[in-house]
Amino acid sequence: MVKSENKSEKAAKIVFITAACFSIVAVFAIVLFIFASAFPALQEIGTFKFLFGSKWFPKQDEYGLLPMIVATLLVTVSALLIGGAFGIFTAIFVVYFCPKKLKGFFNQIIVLLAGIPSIIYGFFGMIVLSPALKSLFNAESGNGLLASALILGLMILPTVTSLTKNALESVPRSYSEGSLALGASREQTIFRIDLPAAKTGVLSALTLGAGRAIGETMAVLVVCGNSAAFPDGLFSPIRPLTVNIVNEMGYAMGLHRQALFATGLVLLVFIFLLNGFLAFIKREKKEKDEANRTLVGGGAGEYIYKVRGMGSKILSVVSCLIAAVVVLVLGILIGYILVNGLPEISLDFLFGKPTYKTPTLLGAFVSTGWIILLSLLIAIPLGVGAAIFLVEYTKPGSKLVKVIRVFIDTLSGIPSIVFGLFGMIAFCAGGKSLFAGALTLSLMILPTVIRSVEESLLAVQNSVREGSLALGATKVRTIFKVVLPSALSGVVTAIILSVGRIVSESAALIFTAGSLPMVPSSPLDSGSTFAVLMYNFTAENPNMEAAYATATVLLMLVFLVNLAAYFCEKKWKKNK
Amino acid sequence: MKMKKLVAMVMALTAMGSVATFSACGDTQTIEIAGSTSVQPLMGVLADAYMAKHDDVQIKVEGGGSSIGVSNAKEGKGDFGMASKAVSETGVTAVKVCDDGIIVIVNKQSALTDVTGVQLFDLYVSGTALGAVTMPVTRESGSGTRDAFEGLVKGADGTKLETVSNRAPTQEFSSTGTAMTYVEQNANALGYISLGSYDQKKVKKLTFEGVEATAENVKNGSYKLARPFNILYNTEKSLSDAAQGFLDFILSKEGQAIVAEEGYITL
Amino acid sequence: MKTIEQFKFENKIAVEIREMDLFYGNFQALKKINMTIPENRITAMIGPSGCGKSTLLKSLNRMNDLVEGCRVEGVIQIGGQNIYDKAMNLSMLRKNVGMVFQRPNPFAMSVYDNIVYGPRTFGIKKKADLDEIVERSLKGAAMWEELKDRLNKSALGLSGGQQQRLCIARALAVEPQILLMDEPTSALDPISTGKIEELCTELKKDVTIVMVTHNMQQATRISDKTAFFLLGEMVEMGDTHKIFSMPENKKTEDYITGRFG
Repeated sequence: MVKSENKSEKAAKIVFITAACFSIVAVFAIVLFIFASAFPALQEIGTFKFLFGSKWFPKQDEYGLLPMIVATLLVTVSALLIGGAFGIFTAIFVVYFCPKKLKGFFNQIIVLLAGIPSIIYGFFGMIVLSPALKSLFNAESGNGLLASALILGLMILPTVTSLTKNALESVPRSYSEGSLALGASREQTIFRIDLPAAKTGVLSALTLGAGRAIGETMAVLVVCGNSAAFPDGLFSPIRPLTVNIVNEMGYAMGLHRQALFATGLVLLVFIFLLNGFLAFIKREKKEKDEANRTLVGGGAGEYIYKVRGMGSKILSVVSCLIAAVVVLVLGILIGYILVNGLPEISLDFLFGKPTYKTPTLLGAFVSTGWIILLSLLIAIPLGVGAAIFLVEYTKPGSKLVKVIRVFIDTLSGIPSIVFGLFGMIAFCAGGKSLFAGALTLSLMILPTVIRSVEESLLAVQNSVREGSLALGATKVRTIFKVVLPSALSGVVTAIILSVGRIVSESAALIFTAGSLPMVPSSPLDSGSTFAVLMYNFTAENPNMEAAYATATVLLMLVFLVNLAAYFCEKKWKKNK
Repeated sequence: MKMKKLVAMVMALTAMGSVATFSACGDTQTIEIAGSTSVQPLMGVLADAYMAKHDDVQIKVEGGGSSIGVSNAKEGKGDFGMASKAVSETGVTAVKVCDDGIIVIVNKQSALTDVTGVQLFDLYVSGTALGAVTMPVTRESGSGTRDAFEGLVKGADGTKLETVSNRAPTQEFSSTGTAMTYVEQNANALGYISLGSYDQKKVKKLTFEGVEATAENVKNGSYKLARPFNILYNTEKSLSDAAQGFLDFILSKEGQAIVAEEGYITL
Repeated sequence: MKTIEQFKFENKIAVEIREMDLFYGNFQALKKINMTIPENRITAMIGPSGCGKSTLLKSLNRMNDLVEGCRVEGVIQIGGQNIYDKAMNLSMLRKNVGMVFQRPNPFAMSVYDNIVYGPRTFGIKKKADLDEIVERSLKGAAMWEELKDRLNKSALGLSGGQQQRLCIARALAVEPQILLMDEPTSALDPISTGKIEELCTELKKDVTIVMVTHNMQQATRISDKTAFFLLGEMVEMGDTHKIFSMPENKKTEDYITGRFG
């Protein structure tokens, strides 16, 4: 490597290091701010009483979190059982049993499921699932534990499926060929060889799914039943930790408000524990010193070989059925919303001036546009800078890189409601604003940006860099004139993924950017995006017609983002 | 080349955003109002009417509950607070806008027609069923409507509901709208909401101790479940011109006509 | 549950290939192959890279089915049964026709579990039976002394040569009648290669061995019959010593004398 470090080179390096360390700063800031706001409550209520108290009655200063902790844990475990199982089987179907022509279709289905805003999942639960459960089981109310678990399971399914899919596809072919050559059937090979070989990846997928389930707010908000009581049946109303925060933050004051921040702190702790578990799974396993096995011997000598594998065959059929069910559910979700929403869409509803009695989406267009623009303006340079540092300035295996990565991964696991809480304290001194919302969201999309850009930077051949340096160009010039342009696909991917995330986000924006359907007069004014308006129309001020119409527009936006991503991917693939 | 395209796209977006922004801009005066979700719908209609006549005024009406309305006024945050109950705080001036009844609602399929205070007390405290009704619906702890309701509902021995902390499980909602929606969707539910928010297409209202819940009965005092809607502001802080103008509008004949039209009880 | 039968070899012929063509999509990889593989002998297939020998080998246990667009025409008979017939049970075929791959591919399990994988697949459950199979297979692969105290250790901890012999033991565990070996020693050191060649010579008493090899010396060392392939066709087949001393076809002679590689 040619070392030509003059002043501007050094300055550039400092800029990149700063960008990379920003994630560390962000995580610390979030933890610190939340802790600082929560601490007074913990002091006054007493940490033990807070965590294990069984009554949440703010009116009488009783703050016991246990029913909500139990609710979160129960819902997460059930969602993991449902979404995890369905997700793994769907992945098995896509990797092994999906006809070649349908593979692209299924991949897009997974991408679509992943991109649907969580508030829409909640809406779907409210309009289809809960009523269906109610009539199916003749229950008093369709809401409660079961409904929450089902919706959350559906929500984490795409995460589990895509990560499991990657893990299964990474199992070397020679492995499965060895099994097939011994006479095992395809199905037997999948369940006895491929799946165990992908164990680490599958566990990671489930852990990440669990993280999403714990931190999810909007999807369960309207179907959980919202009662701070211990669950005592599939249909008893419950209140997960996230819902506790979002429901009461609007009017909480003093100790109550601090107790809600303490709830956020508890959430953070859960997520950090999960992250630790994830790191534990992923670490290199040392060879265990197994005691030797002594053979019993005395076998028959002559054996009868039978064709077996009924169990595996059944599991394979189950995979195909499950994949079909997933497509069906997605179809129902989209169909229901479109059928009920399209008639409600009029030019007036989209672009007319909003009043309190008749809200329109004009404000949402403006708010969403501003937030996208501002978030990208902040996150893209930061993310690109961080990625440049991680790829161009460090040696593989360096300790600093490992530390930074841990913090980036941590940042990406923090629940959106906690980001919202942080944004509230850090950016809303002067009241809610689009700008505060953008600052909050830029923190949320940062890990995605870093990851995308990093991937494409890594794909640039070293020979290209060496060629430039050998001609006498400085490192910085090499990066900006040679490397980055080749890695443009990563930046574009980052932008598209971020836009998708921003469009879907609601929990982090309600308390930072606001939830009124008015048109903001400037980025310093408050305003709601489409997803936040959905929240408004379903949870704050129920307005079914507006909810259906907004849901339809939201779905179309998601389609558009996916389409853009699809075409970009195709274009970059062609150029390769 | 591709970089240039990106930069061009960014500039176009910024331009679009600015245009959208400036079209809404001007010499806008903003009035910020927050508080009771029961008062919120009425305030929204009043705001719509006022903004229709005054192009340069933007009025923001947010919920949050009566407690927020009171504390905002106390701290001087925003222009006005809203409360759906009587307020007597030092440093806060409360101006009554209208009166509102609290109605008890059930699902349209329910056979119930009347309810007494004691029946309500027993339902909310112990979950004692009222015919097919088994699930009481309540409001969040900062709700003025809840404060008013629990102050007016008394048990057989005269105990006020608000003093009892050991309750049977209830469904809790943080706005009138969501509470009404729940009752609309559940045959076994019973709740209480603002009279002015009553939508007979969605739910059925019960008579209280034999008296029908109408604006007249609230005005003449025969319907007991009632409370005032107050607009609050900090006594020390002086109101902006726009805010004063809006307050005058609400108390004027025009404003009160809207109040009556929306189903509330005029001053 | 269907019981798996063995193939019945007649006239000491294990495999008979008649007028076989193989296509990968539009590309014809094997042309009009006619070949007889004798029972209990080692048959070597030699030829330059890309001539189709591995492809033919993989056709014998239908591992080629895994390749997209692979189409076989003609007849491959094992024990008188056409293995490409629709009624052929793949599990039966592959149990009786085992395979050892070019690169060792043991499973990420213990030595013991690797070997009993096959038998377990076919319903053998009793510990006594499985233990006996493990001992028998390891002895058959001349690995018993080396591994009998390391049965629970992961197979991935073994050296390359040991792994390959483990794979042979694994294949032997299901009592195959034919063992297909695709350049089994090309990735190994000379000592491991020697051990495996010694093994094959022992094994042929019970198992018919078909081996693809790039190493002509290996073919001369251990095989009984040799078939020479070129560009998808079988040019010549005969007794090994004859092929290497007096080949009938000029192309064969050119190849074995090193005129082309």
